[in-house]
Amino acid sequence: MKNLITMDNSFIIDNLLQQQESVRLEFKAKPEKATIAKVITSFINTQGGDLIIGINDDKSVVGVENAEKVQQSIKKLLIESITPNAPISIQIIRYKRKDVILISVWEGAKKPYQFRGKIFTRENDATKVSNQEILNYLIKERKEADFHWERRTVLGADIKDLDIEEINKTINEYKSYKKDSGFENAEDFLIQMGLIKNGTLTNACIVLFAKNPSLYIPQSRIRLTVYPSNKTEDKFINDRIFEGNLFINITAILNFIDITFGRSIVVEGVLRKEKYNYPLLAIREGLLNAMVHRDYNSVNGFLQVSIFNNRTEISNYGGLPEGITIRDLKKEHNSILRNTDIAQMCFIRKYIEMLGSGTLRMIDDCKRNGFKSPSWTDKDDITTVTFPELAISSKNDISEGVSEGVNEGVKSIVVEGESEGVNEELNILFQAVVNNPGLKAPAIAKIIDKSLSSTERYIRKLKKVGLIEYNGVSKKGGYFKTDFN
Amino acid sequence: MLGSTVYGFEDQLSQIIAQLKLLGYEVLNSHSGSIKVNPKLSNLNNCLNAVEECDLFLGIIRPFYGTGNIGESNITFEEIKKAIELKKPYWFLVHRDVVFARLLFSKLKLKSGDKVEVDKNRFFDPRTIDIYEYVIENHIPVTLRNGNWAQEFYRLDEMMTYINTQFSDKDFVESILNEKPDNNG
Repeated sequence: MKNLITMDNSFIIDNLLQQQESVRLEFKAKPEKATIAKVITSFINTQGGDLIIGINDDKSVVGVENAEKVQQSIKKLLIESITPNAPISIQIIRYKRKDVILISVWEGAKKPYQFRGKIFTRENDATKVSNQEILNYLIKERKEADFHWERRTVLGADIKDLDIEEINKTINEYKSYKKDSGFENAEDFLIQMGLIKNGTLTNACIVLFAKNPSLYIPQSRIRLTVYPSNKTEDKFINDRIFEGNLFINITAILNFIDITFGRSIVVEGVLRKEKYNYPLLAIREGLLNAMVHRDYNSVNGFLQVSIFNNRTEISNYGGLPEGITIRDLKKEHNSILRNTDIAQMCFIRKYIEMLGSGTLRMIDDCKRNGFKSPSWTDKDDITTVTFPELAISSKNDISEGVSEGVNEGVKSIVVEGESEGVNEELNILFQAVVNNPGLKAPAIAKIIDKSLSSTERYIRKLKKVGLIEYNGVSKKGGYFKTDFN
Repeated sequence: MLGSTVYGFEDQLSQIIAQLKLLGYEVLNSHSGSIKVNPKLSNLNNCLNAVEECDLFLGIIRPFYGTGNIGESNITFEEIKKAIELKKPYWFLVHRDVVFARLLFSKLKLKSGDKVEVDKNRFFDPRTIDIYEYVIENHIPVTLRNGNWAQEFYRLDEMMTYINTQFSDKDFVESILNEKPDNNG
């Protein structure tokens, strides 16, 4: 998860610089902290948005000196001074050989937000101190947010229904996000976060932290199905229902997906590295998107991950929010959250690290790792993201790996410079050695059903790249995978 | 001056302070650090001095008593008593749970005749009923403010709407400030 921070996110700056300053976008040449805090407060009170520091009004890049120090200092001010607390992501991005700082926020759901006792809002490309008319509007929006499904209370549920371990993990993360915070215990934390209201747990609290959320919210279940063909059918290779809380589910589903698609060992000369057979970041982002945007309100609500033989889909009940189109998803857009309280906790737990550019990063991750770009559909209140051609490789013995609950991904190998056909043969031979250590070439040839000369040729290749080795004296020895694997 | 218990209410309190500032008021509130502090005086006395200094008093009575207790005294309760004693023009927002609990507790009787006790918890403290009762019992009706001196609330938007209604009309507020004491009651 941590590798996200060091990723090259310059494409996000590229994308933002194609736009003009607006209600959701502002450029600042200098890191003037109070001005920045006012703009960020106004974004949270209006439509969310992005502020880039180190960019002139004419969009020329001036960069920020001592960016890390500046970033920390701005972060401290924003997190401690803007109340109520809202997720604020602050990233240093290397752009055109300079450091710029990108600050992104969502539109908040606990309006009005204030900085040093003043309420700021955004009007076109200007940040203004709110007047009474705007305040009335903010109060109205707050009222609507407080009536939202997430904040309704769950009758009959109490603190004994909650997974205290997950809450404690979240408290620890929160303390590292907001340094001056302190909580007496799990209940205190939930009260401070608004997840317990007047002594009662909210729906968001149950989805996030219940030991068994489906007891109260059956539609919180997530289903993952692996089909043998390109369509939904009664026959499937694997089918799992995840009934834990959101954090338990994320971990379990990502593990399942990792095992299903597996990883490859890529051999480039003497260098070997592990490569995911799927776009990890994009899949994770797609899953998180579905979790925070899905409509839990209906008992028919669902979240389904479907892996076909030619694509992978993540679908959820709940259409795109009003004002957002499929086209918007391919550029920086206003991220209108359906479940803000849930999203905030996902942010605190670092499952969501950058705000508002998730779909862009999904596309980028796919391109960067040689996968086809995902596409989105919004039909009959169902939003689906499809990853074309993302399917189970024949190399991965998925039924065995998954059904036995193996916790490690099925690793395949890719030897750079060899054709796909040869790599496939190398994989078969490699798996045969892994599963039957200590065999000699003739025995391996039998297992893989190849001639002895072909088998010996493949053995030579795998030995050369250091994936297998011959151990023991010549008569009694055999082939083994090396310690590297 | 804004007098309120704080626990679990920090965000909303700061939002109400920002609202009152937006409406053009200077807000004295112990939680927000906006009262003058004489280091020779106790916290409680500094807060009570602020009550003396203020022109108007808005009290918020919530079901949680909070952490601002010094010995037997609760700072918010003492601020409220002082405001009433000094006949400051005051307004109160009372949480629905306190209103309901007062009604309920007035009907609860143990057969033994013992006092009903409530276990320690994080959503309701029966002492908040004492504050509410004190306010009711000591209320002196003010002709100009018939029916408006106190308002029940449950959510933040209800509090903010009440505050807008009561405090956005400066002429109305000025007229209350300029009332002579003999107009009271």
